[in-house]
Amino acid sequence: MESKRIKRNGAEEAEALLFPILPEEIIWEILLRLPVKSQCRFRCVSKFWLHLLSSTEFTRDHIASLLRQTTIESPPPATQKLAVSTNTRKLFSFGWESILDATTKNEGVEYQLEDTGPSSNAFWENEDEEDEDEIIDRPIVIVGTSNGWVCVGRGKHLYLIEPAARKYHRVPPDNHISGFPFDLVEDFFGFGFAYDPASDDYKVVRIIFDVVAVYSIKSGSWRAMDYIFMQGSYNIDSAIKEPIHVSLL
Amino acid sequence: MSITTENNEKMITLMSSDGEEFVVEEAVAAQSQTIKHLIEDGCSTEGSIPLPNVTGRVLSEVIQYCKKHSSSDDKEEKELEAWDAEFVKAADDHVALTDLMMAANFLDIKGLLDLVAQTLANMITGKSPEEVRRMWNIKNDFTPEEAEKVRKENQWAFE
Repeated sequence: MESKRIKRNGAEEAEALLFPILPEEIIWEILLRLPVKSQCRFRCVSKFWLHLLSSTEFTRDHIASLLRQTTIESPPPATQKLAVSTNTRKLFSFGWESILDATTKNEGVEYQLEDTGPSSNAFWENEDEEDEDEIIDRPIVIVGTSNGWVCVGRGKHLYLIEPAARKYHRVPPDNHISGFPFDLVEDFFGFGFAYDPASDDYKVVRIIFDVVAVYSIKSGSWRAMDYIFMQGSYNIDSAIKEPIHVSLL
Repeated sequence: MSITTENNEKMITLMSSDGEEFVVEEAVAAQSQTIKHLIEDGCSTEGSIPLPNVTGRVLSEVIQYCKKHSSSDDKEEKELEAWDAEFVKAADDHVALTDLMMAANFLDIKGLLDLVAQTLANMITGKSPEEVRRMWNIKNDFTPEEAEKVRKENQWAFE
């Protein structure tokens, strides 16, 4: 037993000599090509791997590489859908095909919202609601997604979450612009979230009656836009809002 | 050293870290962006181009890849894919593949880097963190508390 162990240690030492350092760019290139599930599992390898796999740059490169791989044979990531469960407070991503076709294996990802860190129970539990009866009916909604960011909200609370990097950003209320606080149940279709390449910024757009308010993650504040709309309610489509609404702002 | 073959193909000489010399057509060597830039800067006119980061064993594999990829055109894409698959299979263990990937990275040969990186990624996809640490001799530097926390946060990825 003893001699066996010594032998193995010797082999390990030899291997260590064979492999002095695995350079960062090599690790990066390998990790980029892994399925998301393996990427998450390998956060447990070492502090350095955790650091790489949790970085915003990694998420960005990973999404960019997924988009590059898009061909007719391999469907684009757009067929990956995102769902949120209010009860369990989990985000799920899943392939559309896996639902339409039971034979396709679902390589989906699930993510516990609290893991990101908006520790405010108010958001998840809605403790600060004045009317307790209303709390139960407040669903967590997905306002939009962009480059690995997800904009989720519940009632009067709005968060920008970057699950892969375990980062979040709280969006404050815009009371001073629209005169009254937003409510995602009633205003949901007037909300949009997208990346604005012109200013390299993520923006939330709220259109309520004739008031357009834009929140920028860089400035951390809401701004009223001088933009004339017909009165009514709006449904901001994520596919069109990027070029039309956000880039112009 | 710059010599010209009978069919007017310019040849250049590459020298590995362990002093082995390889004479290859310029078009083959120029698949490496690093070598291409060295040729453009006039480094190939006086003797051989030294590649201090690449051993002769690895360099011969790299040249094999570059030769195949410079002689094939788009029509042979399927055949080339099959050839690539055999090529990485021949390198078979992760140590040889990692050496090859480091060379592809240093020499800046995108196709080879993609090929080997994907092969290594496929190799570790289903493995545990412990197995990955063993493969590359990576030290587990988490404290037991940190290890438990990061494991808990990513529990779903182990199921």
